[in-house]
Amino acid sequence: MNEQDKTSMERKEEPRPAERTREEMEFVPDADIYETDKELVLVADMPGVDRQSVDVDLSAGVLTITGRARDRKLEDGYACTGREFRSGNFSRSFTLGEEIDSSAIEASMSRGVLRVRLPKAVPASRRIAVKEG
Amino acid sequence: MALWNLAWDWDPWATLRTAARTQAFPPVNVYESGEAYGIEAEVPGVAPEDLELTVEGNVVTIAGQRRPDEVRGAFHRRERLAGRFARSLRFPVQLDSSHVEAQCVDGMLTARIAKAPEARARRIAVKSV
Repeated sequence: MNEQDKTSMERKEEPRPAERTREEMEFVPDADIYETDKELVLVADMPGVDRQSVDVDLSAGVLTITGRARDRKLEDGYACTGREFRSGNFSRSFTLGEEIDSSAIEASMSRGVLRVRLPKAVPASRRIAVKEG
Repeated sequence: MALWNLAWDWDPWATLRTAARTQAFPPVNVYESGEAYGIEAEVPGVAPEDLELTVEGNVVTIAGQRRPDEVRGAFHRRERLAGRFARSLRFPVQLDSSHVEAQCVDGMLTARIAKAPEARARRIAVKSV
């Protein structure tokens, strides 16, 4: 592996609990997360991933996004002479601090960017005023 | 990532965070055949109308801008940069700017640029004597 290949692959690495069985590349997508009064919004770059190949999963307070990149290869007759990025899958997980209404999560994919809207759940517990007495 | 215009949001940690990544945006893979060069560039979130591909002599330039999202709220994290970018690739042979095909699908720009006629590979028939 030459030096250039190494730098391009080092770019996105996240500690994982266990190895995958398949030996394929997995990258951590760059992400923005912002919060409004009503929702949490996650925006992640997944170039080369189409709408059908993306998964959004929320379980036990952990949001996981995965995207499977299409095998992109120019047609036969082309040989790669310079490589700065590799194709592979994208995966990233976040522990959510907020209670999310999981039935109302919306996700959309446009131009290789995933957007997930996570509406906050209406709190089930009520704050109790403590009286003096 | 020096090519990004950081006018929208100054983030002093961006350089550190992206230090291990490729330096230029967008990252590009280059392919070659006998008649043409192929390039692939990762441009997630860039609208086709904001993307400009120019071929001049032996230089291909990919320029454009990624517009920031309209955000009404507070950021928990911000890793995706927005702004203008430009990148030029110099090829060893002259290119034929009238034979260029480019498309952008799912944030991935793919272009095929023909080599100038005199630079194309020609197969020479070997005679037997």
